[in-house]
Amino acid sequence: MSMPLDAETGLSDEALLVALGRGDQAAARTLTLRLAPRVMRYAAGMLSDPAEAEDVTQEAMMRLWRQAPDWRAGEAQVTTWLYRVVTNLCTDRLRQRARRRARPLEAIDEPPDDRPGVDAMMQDDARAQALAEALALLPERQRQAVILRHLEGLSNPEIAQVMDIGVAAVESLTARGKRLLAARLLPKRDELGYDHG
Amino acid sequence: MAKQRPEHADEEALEAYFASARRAAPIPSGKVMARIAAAGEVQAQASALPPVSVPFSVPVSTEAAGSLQALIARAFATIGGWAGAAGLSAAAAAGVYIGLASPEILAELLPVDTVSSDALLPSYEALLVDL
Repeated sequence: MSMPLDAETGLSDEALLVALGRGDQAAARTLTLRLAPRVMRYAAGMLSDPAEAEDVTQEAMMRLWRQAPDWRAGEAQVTTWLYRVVTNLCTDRLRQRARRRARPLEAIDEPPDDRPGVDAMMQDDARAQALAEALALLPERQRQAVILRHLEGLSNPEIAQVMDIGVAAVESLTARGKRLLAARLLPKRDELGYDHG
Repeated sequence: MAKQRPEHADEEALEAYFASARRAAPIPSGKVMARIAAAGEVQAQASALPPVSVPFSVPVSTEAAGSLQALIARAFATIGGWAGAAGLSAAAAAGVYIGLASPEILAELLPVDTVSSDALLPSYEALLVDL
């Protein structure tokens, strides 16, 4: 994970958070623009539900703000801390969802009747939708590792930190997750506009 | 053109899905972004205030200690710290004295003539007049 820098100030996430903790209001705006979309993308991948992902994004960012006055420089990367919080929030919601059984996996598997046909959708949207559906069927830890690696671009050691496991376990989770994704997605290549190489 | 190994082809095909998902990823609405930023600004404002010191400790459970001490500290700061507390104490003592002291003494203390409270009440004699 590269340390993101603000184009104008050249400040890292951590420096901005510390500044916020000392009363710098502009730091809140910069951090929001920088981090909230990443948090939302990760949460949406985990939950397959943009509305819930937005709620999680808000909650995670609120927790980050509350952490600002006590943030100790050099102890952890802001994004690692944030991904952990989002992971926990998503896990809670997935467990609640499983208890309620409001959204069985069968419902995720089949698109709703009024969903526009794949032909009418933009290719990116169609592929993203197909990937979201396939991700939703992965075991939670595999899904988490695959999203962090391939959507968020974290390195394996960084994922290990977020998930609190070893690097070898991360490699295993991502490999198994990708095998399942390939088995599910690649037969759909024709309908999603891929050429066979 | 050399034929790709199946695993490599699968990797490339999957990567195309990931790339599409990154491009099509949902982003928070403008309202939510504004709400998050506003909350951050409020936190920054609160952080910029000098910390309120708690002048005494209250023996309570550790779980409740944080919130109770913060409450006491806020209440103490609201009345103006030690100076405010001293003023309040003096006012309370004066109130007790006035309540216990006899009216004659009170009348001596006041610089103007006083009227008894029943003089301020409306007369009920009108009700007794035969109509």
